[in-house]
Amino acid sequence: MESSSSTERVRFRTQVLARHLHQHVPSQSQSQSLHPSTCLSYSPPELSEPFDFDTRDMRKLMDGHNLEDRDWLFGLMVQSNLFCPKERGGKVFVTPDYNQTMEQQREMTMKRIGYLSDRGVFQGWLTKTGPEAELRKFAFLEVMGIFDHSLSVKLGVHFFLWGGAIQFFGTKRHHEKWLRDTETYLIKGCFAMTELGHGSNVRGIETVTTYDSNTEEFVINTPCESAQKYWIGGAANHATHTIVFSQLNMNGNSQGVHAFIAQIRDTDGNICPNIRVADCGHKIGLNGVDNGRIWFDNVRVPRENLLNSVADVSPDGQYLSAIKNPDQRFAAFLAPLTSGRVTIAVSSIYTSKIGLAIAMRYALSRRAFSLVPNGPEVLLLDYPSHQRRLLPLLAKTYAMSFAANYLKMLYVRRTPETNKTIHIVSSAFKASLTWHNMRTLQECREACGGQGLKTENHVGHLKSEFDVQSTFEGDNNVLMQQVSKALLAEFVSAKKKNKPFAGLGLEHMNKACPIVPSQLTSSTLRSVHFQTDIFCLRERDLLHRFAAEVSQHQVQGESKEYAFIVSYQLAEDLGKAFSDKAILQTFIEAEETLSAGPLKNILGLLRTTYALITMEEDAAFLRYGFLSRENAAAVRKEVGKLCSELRPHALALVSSFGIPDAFLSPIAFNWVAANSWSSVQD
Amino acid sequence: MIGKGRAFCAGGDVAAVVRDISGGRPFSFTVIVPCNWKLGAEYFWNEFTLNYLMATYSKTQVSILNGIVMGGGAGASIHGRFRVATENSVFAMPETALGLFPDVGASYYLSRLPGFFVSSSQVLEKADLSSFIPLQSFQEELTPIFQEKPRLCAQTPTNNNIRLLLTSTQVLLQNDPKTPQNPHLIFQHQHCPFQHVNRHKICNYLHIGDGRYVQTMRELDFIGEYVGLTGARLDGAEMLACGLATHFVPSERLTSLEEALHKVDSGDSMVVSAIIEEFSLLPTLKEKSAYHRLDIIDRCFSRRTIEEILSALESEAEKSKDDWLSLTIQALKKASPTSLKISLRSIREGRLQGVGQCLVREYRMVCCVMRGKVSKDFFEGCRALLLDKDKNPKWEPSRLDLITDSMVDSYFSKVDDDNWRDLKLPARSNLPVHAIAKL
Repeated sequence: MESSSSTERVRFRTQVLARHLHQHVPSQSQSQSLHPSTCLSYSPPELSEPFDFDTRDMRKLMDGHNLEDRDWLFGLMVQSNLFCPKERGGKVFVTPDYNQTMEQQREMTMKRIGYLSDRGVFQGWLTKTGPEAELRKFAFLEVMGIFDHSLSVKLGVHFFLWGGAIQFFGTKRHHEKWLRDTETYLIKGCFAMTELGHGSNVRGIETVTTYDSNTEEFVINTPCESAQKYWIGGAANHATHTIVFSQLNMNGNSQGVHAFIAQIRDTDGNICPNIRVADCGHKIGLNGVDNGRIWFDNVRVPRENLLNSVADVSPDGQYLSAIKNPDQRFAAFLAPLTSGRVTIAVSSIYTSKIGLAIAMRYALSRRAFSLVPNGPEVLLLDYPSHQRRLLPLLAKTYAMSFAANYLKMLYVRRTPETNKTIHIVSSAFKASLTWHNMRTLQECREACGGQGLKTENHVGHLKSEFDVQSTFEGDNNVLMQQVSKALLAEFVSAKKKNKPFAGLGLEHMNKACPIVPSQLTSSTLRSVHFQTDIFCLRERDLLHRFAAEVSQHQVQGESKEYAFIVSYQLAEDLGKAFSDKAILQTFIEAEETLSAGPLKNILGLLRTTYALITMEEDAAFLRYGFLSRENAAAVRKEVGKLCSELRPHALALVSSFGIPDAFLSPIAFNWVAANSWSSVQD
Repeated sequence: MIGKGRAFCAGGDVAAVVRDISGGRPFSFTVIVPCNWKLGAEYFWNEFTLNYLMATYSKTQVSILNGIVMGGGAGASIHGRFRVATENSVFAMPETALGLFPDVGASYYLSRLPGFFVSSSQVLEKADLSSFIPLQSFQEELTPIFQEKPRLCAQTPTNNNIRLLLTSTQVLLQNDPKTPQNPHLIFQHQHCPFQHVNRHKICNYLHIGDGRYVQTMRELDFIGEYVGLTGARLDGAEMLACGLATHFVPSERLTSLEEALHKVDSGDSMVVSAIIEEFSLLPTLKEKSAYHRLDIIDRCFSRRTIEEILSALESEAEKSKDDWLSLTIQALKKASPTSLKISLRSIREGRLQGVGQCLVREYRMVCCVMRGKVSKDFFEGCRALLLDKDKNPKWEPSRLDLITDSMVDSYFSKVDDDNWRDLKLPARSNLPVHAIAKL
């Protein structure tokens, strides 16, 4: 004991001295050898990474709105033991206990919602309207999604799907009856649209509803196993009511898909007669959400429970609708449901921010390998290869953050005229942003090495929590095909009517085709003008090619639909081109609002990195000759240079994300202390 | 660290700072022009730097708070390792009444006040209770004790009064040999849950019999908002209950405590803690204590804005007539509206930041206050309370609804002055963990 404590003291003293010496060593002379200390000690990156711009200003730009509301909500969560605060390495972190059973996690999600509801977080979520109220709601949903995806999904189902369906598909009588009780959680809603046999293709669902004019009731039925409602969030444990999507069959005539309100549980939580409910079981993520399956056996609901904004049934059984064509009726019906895609796109980008903030902070405090024998080890982020892995993803995340903000604004300021644009842009961004998120998380996980595998460090675990985003509210691939289809329709109609392009950002097609210089210098590559030109050129050219290929198939006698599905390769390239260009555009617009200064400079650097990495990664630039081989090489070289220019700002850039430390993870901070023996003893 | 006379420290000499800023002109005669605000800024620069050094100091600091602890005095003690309260302690952050805001790192410690101790030990987890809420599951066992102590709380145990009880009793967990998975709770009164300091951090432990202890967890509360916004005074017992103090020692034992501390001559926090522990006892909370209103504090002071906090308090007041409620509402209505808004935001931001970030932000804020571009309430408050003593400040803007978001924003932005710079805190590399997180 005695001797071990004295060696302990000697070691301590040596470390103190080493630290004193260390401060006098200029940081650039890394090769200068220091005596390796007996134990690695954590040094907060803040001490060696000065900030060149005000991270508060950058955060304002990133979060865009309701900053104080966000901080209040973060604070509410940090204050409550329901959010499982845990002390690690001298800091408190909040994170759900994913080691709980599925049932426990579901109960915790519900308890957290109760706590937040008691404190007024959901006030006005359904009873207030207008952009201000909607933005506040979005901000809160984003903040809760940063804590736990299950929490935000559970809320999303209740407020955006169940509540949204009543708001948008229902009329006054529904609003008065349901919205207030939904907002206060007197009732818990779910949304039964997808079935075992039908997901993206809602029009094909098999649930059938008929009308009984004697009792003035609708009768809902699940005619076969593939018609069981599947993946219904909230159905397995908590929901008392559901929206049922069903074919409406009036006197043998199918009128297409309609939505009804049905009660599935009583106030004590017992399942109602003629309803059968089963669990979807344990999932790879989102186990705090009780996804279930529902069967309807001649379930009778009052006539008033038809959500009748588009079509109604009179007491005597007359089908009434202003829109005669069932296809159009269906489109009009689903149009308002884009909010789901908007919130998914936005939340995916916040998740990338969590991953990057953690991986970047770790890379700024973890060292590996020395350049000279016995020399100090090199910080991970000082390796150009590590920069190349993380910094382009950071630039993309910035770009997509602006895109997400743009989409949000487009949505909250929607008018009937902008519905089509919102549909297309939200489809494209939802796909691009959620794909980007999965890629970013994987890279961040690997960049954290073994530490990335620990659930408490988030990055690895977030992959399984957010994987679902590429599927729900529209499969990403299907959405991208819809984007290309819509662009093609615009193209065909402009050509047919011989009118200039208007809308969807296609106006550049009215101008002369841009010309890319044959020799790309560094300054050309960094100019907004060039970047815009080449992104427009790519979209324009691919749209022409796609239109040509589809029409060629049609000339050969194939149907339009068939022509479209066989041209999937170009459709994919075109969808990407549209999305990338739209994202770049939002970045440029955000930049334009700033006056010259350090903030604008760093954003310029990020925008160029975004543009060039996109050019480097998408083979279409080379395949269709938008870039020559030499130019492609120049782009690649420039990306490397940009990474080294971004490196000094890495910490400031992730610090601007506005995610409080408590919502990151132990490896983002003092990971030595967080893993010390004494921390095991506690 | 010990105060001279009847106070520990009643705060900085605000009047002197204001005199400096106004160029030495007497107040009563002139409209105050903050021409020399930079002199004041220098004062706060030094004070905040000292606060930071104390907060990150690895040596053990013991502050004996036998008297008034306000403003700057709080900054000089709360950031340290041990804070010993006595029956003479009076704690307050009265800045909002003065047109200032709780500074000296208060946005850090006020936002982290643990309301009480809740056992979240592994023993409880073994009973297969979810990580929180376990207390409710013990309701049956607790009920008899509540009936025994009607003075302390209502007859039926709620989550909140269970917590109250825990601050004044020792929980004994005994394993029933027949059902080892289901520990029974047995309470012993008049014992204090005591602090044990291990090498890296302070933990609160409760005795569970046979010399075994379980770690307790802190449940946080919105009492920081209450204390920071209303300037409410806390006595020694309350300081201990909310964690502002780490120990309570009756003042008559202070001389012996000091002697004992001198005698060991050790900086080891465990040794020091053990010594203070010897002299400590658990005080009872006064009947009128705000601590019996944690439920209301939690419900009202967790609201998003000052306006919402006020209206929540007012609707509570409608439900029940209560002097405490009307005093609290009065305190808020008397304070500078601008101060209230920036203080609330500061505490809310502080809750999510480290102590260094808090001080940097508070420095920005204090410079804005002294420049007086948005509001000159600080000078008006000093005039009315410290110089003219008419206790009738004329706040400007005079109402909460006249203060726009952008006005509040400006207190949190860099000061628009070429020579001004953000507070630069001294580098404290390789700090041990306990040097950063003391509360």
